[in-house]
Amino acid sequence: MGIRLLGTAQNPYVGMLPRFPQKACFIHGQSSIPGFEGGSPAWCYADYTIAGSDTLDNTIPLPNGFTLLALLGSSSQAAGFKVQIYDTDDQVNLLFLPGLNGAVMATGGGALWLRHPFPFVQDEPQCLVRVANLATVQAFVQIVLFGVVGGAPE
Amino acid sequence: MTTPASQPAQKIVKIPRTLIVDIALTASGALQPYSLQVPSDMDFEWWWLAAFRTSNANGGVKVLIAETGVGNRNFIIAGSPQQTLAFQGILIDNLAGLVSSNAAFPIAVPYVMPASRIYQHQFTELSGAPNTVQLAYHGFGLLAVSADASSSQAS
Repeated sequence: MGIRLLGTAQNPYVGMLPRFPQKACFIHGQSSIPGFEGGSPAWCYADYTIAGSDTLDNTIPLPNGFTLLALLGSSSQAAGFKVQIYDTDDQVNLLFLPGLNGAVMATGGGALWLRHPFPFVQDEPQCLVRVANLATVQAFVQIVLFGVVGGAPE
Repeated sequence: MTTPASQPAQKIVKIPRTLIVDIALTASGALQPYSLQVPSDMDFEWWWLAAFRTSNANGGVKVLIAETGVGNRNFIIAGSPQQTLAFQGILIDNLAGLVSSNAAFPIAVPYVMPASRIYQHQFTELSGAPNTVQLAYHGFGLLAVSADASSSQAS
């Protein structure tokens, strides 16, 4: 496991895209993340309708060759949610503690961009995503994993 | 690499270009289709996605996008249902935001959409009222020109 993390390609956006990528220096015409050229974008998502103060698990199947680049999510209730994301194939938590959505992810423009791309190297990879509703009333929550398929690091 | 004598050297010039999906959705309609065809004059390199909707009540609109011609490759992939929720896609505010709100979404690895290829969109309206939606694909047209032509342009 440690070996794979050490071998992870460095995202050239490190230090450039901490949270609000469109405010950062994004130079049109420059080459994309080295080693991922030719990959296609993919948004993998799960929907949750959760009762007040309840918790729900869901599985997000990922395409083979998927590399995670960013996390997005939203709740219909302002109180938000906590989220825990677990890579079931490698048996590793991508978030070591349940994170508040305000600290971890937001909608489109406020996506959390990972400091390093996270490749899923197993066949038929998937994530287990646990969401805890922080509102006392029913909430509709959506979690999105954005990444690239193919264009694997050389 | 050398260029065969019979084939003039070519280079790609990037022309700023935006492709627009513009659809008026009927209230509460599920999976309303829209086909976006890349113009036939050149390939399109996709860098940013921006979105507009007139209402985001109840989540506003859900979106699915698929590329035809390569086995209908889905760009948006649904999770396994622990509940009986229909696979109708990503909430539009999770997909992208307004450029004016500083929320266009960067396609971190720019994707080349071949000329003439069709991208099938499906929109599910959630607000319960008619909803006007635009998706703007910002990027570049990839214009192939002969190296001779581009050097004479530069001089």
